[in-house]
Amino acid sequence: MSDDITLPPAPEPDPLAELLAPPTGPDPVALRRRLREQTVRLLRRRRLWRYLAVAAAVAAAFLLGLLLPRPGARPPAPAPETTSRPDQPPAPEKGPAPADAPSAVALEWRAFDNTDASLYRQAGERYLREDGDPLAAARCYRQSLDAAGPDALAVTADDDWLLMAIKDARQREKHDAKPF
Amino acid sequence: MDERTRRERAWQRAALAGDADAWLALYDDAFAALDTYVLWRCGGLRDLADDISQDVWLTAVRRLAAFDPARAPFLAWLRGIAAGLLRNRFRLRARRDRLRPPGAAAAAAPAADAEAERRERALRVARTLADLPERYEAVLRARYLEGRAVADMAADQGETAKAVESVLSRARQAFRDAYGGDTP
Repeated sequence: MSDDITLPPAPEPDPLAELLAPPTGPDPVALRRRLREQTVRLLRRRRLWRYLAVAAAVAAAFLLGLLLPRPGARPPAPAPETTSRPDQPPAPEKGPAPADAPSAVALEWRAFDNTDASLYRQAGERYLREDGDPLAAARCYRQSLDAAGPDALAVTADDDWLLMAIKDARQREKHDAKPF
Repeated sequence: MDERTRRERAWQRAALAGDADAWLALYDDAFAALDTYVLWRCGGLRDLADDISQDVWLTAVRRLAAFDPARAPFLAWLRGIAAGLLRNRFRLRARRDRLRPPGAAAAAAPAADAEAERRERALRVARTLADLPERYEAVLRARYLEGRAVADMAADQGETAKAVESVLSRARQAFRDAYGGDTP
């Protein structure tokens, strides 16, 4: 009996198996730790830069808003004497306004329609006293002084702190603008 | 949206918002597999692989917003970055070699010992893989690095085993041609 057994041909060795074999070696522990720290640091730094960029954009928008002309601004009207006229009615009593009195916004609109310095001033007082809104009050006081003209810059006993501050600032501006 | 996409998208968004833990989840998930891939692409040269890995990870942090989990897994995205970096590196090196005078090239050649020979061969493997089309590189990776069977690759890609076998043999041939005459 013959022992000859026909075996299937052995698969040819892959010539690239050696060149493209998966690499072996220890895990790069140090590299892993180093890259971990580097990437986290970079991530945090990028977040910080993003916050700074947003803050800068907000600040730029705010400054731009300050520099742009206001839509309600009008050229100063001829100055009606509002503060120093002898027949001026007594200043309205400070304190809470009656319930049926027009709101600060309504007063401002009326002042805007008539370019009325005293209405602007009343609106400013109510914004400051009742609404606790110094920004709106400052806007109305500025319009009031624009409408009233240069004589209204004198500080009177009826002025509140904000109006005094605005008047004082305007007087300084005026003084500093005089040629030597 | 599958589980992997949902998970990676959540990590990506949190990392972009500055959450270091979310970033580390992505990092730890992909580090070992990416390292193996980069080392394979570098012909086993550890120093080159470390350089490339570092560049890949730093690029990934910078461009994390561009990663789209719905298109590919995070590891595949990282592999793409690595492949691009390797291609650029070898192109730059080839351009520099062309500009170098012939005498200088000979003087700069390292001593012909076994280690230098091994290194030269590894660099040739890396250069060759960098020159191959993406599809060829992908089948060679699946076959030799991941050790996958042709039938498995075919099922994964939705193709017939014959088609994958054909791409694989063309990829092998392209590798041999690009590598040079003394392929084992």
